[in-house]
Amino acid sequence: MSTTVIARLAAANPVPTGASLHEPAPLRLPPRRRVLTIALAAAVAVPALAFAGRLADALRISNGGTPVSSSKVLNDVLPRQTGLDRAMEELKLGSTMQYLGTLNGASFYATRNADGHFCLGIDYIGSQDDKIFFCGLNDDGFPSPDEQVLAPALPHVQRLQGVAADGVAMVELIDASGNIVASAPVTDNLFDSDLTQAGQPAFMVTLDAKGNVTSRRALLQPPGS
Amino acid sequence: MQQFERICEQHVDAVRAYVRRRAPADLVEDVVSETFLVCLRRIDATPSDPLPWLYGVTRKVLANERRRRARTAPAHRDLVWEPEPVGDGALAAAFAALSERDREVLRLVAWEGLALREAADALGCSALACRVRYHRAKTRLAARLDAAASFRPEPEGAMR
Repeated sequence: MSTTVIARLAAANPVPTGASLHEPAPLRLPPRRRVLTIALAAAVAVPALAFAGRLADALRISNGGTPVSSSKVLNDVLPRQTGLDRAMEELKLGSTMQYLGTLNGASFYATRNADGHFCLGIDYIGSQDDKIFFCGLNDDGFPSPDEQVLAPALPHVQRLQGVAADGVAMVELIDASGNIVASAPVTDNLFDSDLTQAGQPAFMVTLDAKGNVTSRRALLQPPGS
Repeated sequence: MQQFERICEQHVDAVRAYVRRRAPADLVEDVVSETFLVCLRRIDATPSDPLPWLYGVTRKVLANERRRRARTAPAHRDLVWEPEPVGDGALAAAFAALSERDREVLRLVAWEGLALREAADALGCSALACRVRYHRAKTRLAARLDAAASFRPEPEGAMR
């Protein structure tokens, strides 16, 4: 009887093996970014702050931040975790990062990796889960007229947050009909806001202090939408 | 990196199906992404047959994601929703009445098609413990189905 039960259960599989899943790539990464919600190893190189000033310049935003050692950041952002040395190497991170500030309980850290890509870490203080770290994959990206915002991939996070280029005063998400789904004022190049309104974000737009739209970018949409 | 890409390529559909058998559709991509990020982080510790291990990682990621969403959206109904066996109402009811512990080991065998040794890897327990767990779960499911079959309410409108 019980063997029959398993056969019966197998026949009632809601997603049979081999069924088409209608889903895209393995990791839903935006085309030019690699996103890691990471748990980095604490065992990173000893602090090396000698090039901190040069690093701040390399960010190419007014908020140059305060140099902090990567090992301290990783200890703060990713306590009790081990084993991400390999990912650190793959992302080509140095031992020094810039602390850009804290907004709505989220601390922002940035650096450029060995390839010159802008990398951003966001740590919600007191939360074990909301840890984000990602690096742009294009050399001439943020900040530029076409790339005025560096933000985690929206399907991956529940907030509108990130770093904005100089001159950006507001970041907004709008749906396909042009309704505002979320908006976040920019402070010292940083923004962070809940996604409180209902609606499926279709575009991210940036506005200057006069309310003029300075950039508009289509967002990746969830499968099936 | 080649090892990681190979694992992604070979197993992403299986992992995605695993999540879809246990969670609402809007959770699937987040959980799958997070699972493979864990894989990337722990690539040196990934076993040569990684699928049962990936299922184990996915199970934990899914649990974490449910907890995280429960904090940010406490009234979210989808948090407790999970797909049920299809096309067999009696089985679906009996299955739903089991504990999550029982359901998971049965799913791994019946839906993921794992051998008990592989299911043990996915559950993070010994092969012996998995075997015991599986047989108990199977017996409980059969008993619930038997009980349901022996209780046949009169058809609606039947004459007394």
